[in-house]
Amino acid sequence: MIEQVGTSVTEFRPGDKVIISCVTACLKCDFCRQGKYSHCRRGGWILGYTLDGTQAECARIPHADGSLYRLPPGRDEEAFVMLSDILPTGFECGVLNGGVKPGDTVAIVGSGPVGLAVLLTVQFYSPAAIFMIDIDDNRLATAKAFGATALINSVDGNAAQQIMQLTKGAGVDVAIEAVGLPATFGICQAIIAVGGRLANVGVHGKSVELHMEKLWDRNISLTTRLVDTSTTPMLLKTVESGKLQPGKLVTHRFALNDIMKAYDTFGNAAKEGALKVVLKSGKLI
Amino acid sequence: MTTANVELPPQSIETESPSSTMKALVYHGPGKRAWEDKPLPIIQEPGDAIVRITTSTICGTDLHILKGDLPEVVDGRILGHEGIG
Repeated sequence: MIEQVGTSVTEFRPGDKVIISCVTACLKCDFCRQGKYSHCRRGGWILGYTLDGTQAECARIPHADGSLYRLPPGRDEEAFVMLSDILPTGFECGVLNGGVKPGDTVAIVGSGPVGLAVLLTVQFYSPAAIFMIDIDDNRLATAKAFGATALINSVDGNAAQQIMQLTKGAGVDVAIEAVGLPATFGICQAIIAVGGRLANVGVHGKSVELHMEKLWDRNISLTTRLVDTSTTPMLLKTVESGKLQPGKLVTHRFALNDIMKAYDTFGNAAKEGALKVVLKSGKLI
Repeated sequence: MTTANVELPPQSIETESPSSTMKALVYHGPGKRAWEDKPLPIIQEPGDAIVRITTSTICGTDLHILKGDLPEVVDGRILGHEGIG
């Protein structure tokens, strides 16, 4: 809950329960005026990056009026905390940038929390088929329960061939990369249909090969994006109504004091069967 | 009781010390993290809010930071960009 606000904060007061957005927005600079909050001149993604973040007992949130959302009273914090990052990230960087339309075939590479957030929100647009690709059968089973129409385990390196078989050689209208590795980006390039869209979501730490010798005449588009959280107010309504149930992504709960153990669990996600690991203040009941 | 002001119980001084610090998950370079004491945040700019966190989570991006994929993150940084408070 808010403990203190500065003199220019007008929308929130001490005692308010709030959802903290992963992106800080001043609402005044040129990028904010275009809705590109991720590149806010005075904010953007700074929390837990270039400014101290939220894995603590307290956090200072700059530009609070543009960076906090009111938590609907009496609601389950586990579900709503998914609005801080993964739901808007999956929706904006994956679904919106991928230009998903009704009847499209969609492949989501990566069935982690963000890939699953793509899977939940892509269904707003009624795609004809949703192929989920991962190397972890547990995560794929979760994807099946969340609405994926076909599961592909890519551990043998044949994911692209399987997708091409499933689409009778056409490929997919939208390929969404939700891992951030050269191999998973490579799968997306290999399965994109003529006129398709490749939407990157993953955080990449290494360069990737772009196969222009195969793609130059395919009429595709490739997008990248850092989440703007401009869709958070809409997504908040879908969670509040129960249309989206992101609380189902929570597999583990720890007291905030046990965060070191929580990191160990999340760092061994495949072995531990971990998706979202939630930390709660005080003692867990 | 004119002496009341000089008879403050000593615990009133002791309780000030824990209230100025908090626990936080701190990055100390690739592969290194610790749950340790940090100063409680204070209002620095007029647009700031201080939020007491009740629910937080760990993101895959935090693991990228710990791997050293995001070298902009400095030693001593408190991680985390998701939360409710």
